[in-house]
Amino acid sequence: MSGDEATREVLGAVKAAVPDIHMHTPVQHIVSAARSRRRRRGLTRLAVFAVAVAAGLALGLSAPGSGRSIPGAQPYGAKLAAWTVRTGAGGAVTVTLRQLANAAALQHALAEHGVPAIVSRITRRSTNPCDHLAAVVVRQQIRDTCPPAECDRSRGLPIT
Amino acid sequence: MEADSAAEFAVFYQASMDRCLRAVLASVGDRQLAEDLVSEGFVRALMAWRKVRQHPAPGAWVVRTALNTRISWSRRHRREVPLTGGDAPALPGPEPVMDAALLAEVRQLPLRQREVIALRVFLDLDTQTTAAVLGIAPGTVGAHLSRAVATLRGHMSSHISDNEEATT
Repeated sequence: MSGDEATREVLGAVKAAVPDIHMHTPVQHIVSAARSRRRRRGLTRLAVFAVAVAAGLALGLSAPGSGRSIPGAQPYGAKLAAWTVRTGAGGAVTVTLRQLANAAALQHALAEHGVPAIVSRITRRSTNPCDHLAAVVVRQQIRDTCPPAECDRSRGLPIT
Repeated sequence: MEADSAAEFAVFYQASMDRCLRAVLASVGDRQLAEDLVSEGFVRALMAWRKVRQHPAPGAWVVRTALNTRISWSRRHRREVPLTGGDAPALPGPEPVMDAALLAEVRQLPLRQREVIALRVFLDLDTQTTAAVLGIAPGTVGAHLSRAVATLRGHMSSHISDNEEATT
């Protein structure tokens, strides 16, 4: 017996071994099951989207460097930020650092508040190898229009 | 448009449901489980009908989905213990008896070989289409088929010799 014949014989035996049975499930059951599952999936996707939007909003409020204060804005959003730059009633600019992140945005925010500065992040290793000290140095650029004697000390010295 | 798709699916379902059921039954051995798996395969086919209707063999897609669903269901229900003496689901009409020994041997085959057998035998797919459906080379389909045939042929030979010994 050749290989093809043997294959045909075996496959024929397998085919004959399975009885001539029929599906009892009507097509309407399949259609309604698919429809309800599609509806459930749509609701799940909507819920996931809503959660993602909510999470995105929450992250947007608490993202590092997004705490630039706007005059008149509520303070609760800024409390979650890595840093905050506020201009007080007397014109004093207050920088609050909570986390050392997004130095470029902080520099930009300071510039918007009238403080031209170079913000850089320096990581120093202390004597204790586990204790990494990170520092942000804010240096005010020396402006030609602002003589040293008139400079506010708080704006003129490095903040570490 | 949606009504057209539903009508098209209904025609496909009527034409291929029994063949798909037999293909899955040969692989799983349990009539009720096979029907549940094939129903699940068809539900998924309808949900993805836009893709499935363009498939080279939509029936094969259903059979493959059903066999894969069986794996995930058995994983999910691995720790369940069936109730003894529970109510068995009643199916209308008497069930024909299968060649249990040969089908038991089919169920012992690796999944890929069972898939090849199901597609080639029950859906009458050629080697090229079987290869396309399974995402493997046509030569690999031939290799799986010949291995499966060799195993089943060995079983059939031993079964025949057992019967001859019993009659003498």
